[in-house]
Amino acid sequence: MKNPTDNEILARVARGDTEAFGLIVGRYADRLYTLAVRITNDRESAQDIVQESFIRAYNKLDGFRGQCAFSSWIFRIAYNLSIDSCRRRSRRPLVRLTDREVQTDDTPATGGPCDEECLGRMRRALDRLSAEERALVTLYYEEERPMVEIAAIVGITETNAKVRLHRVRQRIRRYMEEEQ
Amino acid sequence: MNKKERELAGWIRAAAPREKAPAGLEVRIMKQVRECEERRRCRRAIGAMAWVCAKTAAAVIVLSCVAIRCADAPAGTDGASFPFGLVGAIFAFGITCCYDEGRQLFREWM
Repeated sequence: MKNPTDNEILARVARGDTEAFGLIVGRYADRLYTLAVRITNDRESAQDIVQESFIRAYNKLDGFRGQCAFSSWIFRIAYNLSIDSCRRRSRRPLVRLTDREVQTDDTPATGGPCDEECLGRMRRALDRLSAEERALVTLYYEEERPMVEIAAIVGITETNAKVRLHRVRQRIRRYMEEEQ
Repeated sequence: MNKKERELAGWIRAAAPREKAPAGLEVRIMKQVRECEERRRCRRAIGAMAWVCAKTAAAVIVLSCVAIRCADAPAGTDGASFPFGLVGAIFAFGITCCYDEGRQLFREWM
């Protein structure tokens, strides 16, 4: 079995093959970490959140009935933990990631031309969004998840998710224009 | 997605590319998962042991009551020998049936 599906891996875990869970961790660690960093703006917290998400998922595997995709389920756990972390931290000053701290890899920009200055404006615009809005942007644009799954992860209706995302897009454009 | 939308999507992806989880995070998570599994097995083994103990205690209580009644039996009858023989037989049967399972539980527990 070269590339087993999530459900196949979970079936192995259920049969007592604990090490198979490592495949799940390898598959989702980066993605959950990205979501947690975007929401919390804090890499330390994001690490803890990712760790806690996997442990919770493992401990509650018996309760996962497969009504939704496993990826949606684990993203929802990470999302809830990230939002909780933000709420707890809201009493303390938020340490935002500066432009220099944002790690970049070789992902090519698929849109139109956007120079470094433009990307900087975009990062600052994203930074001004609320934690929930950043989660929506990450799930839709980076994860490219269908709207129905995003709605399930965030815990709102599909229509509400569409409306919120539309407003977020408008806000991002406005923030970018304000800086021009 | 229209053109404007695609352009915005591209900019967002370029401005906030996917993060790489720090090295060692996956190892740490798996270590915790193994610990969780270990604890779960321990709990299961303790539960099973407690269940066996409870059943044994119940059986002993019932048989003790029977033995006490038989000890008061009139002379010339079997008295307590029959229930005690029964206890011995049940004990031997239990050991034979549960030896492998008990050994496995004990190994998991330790």
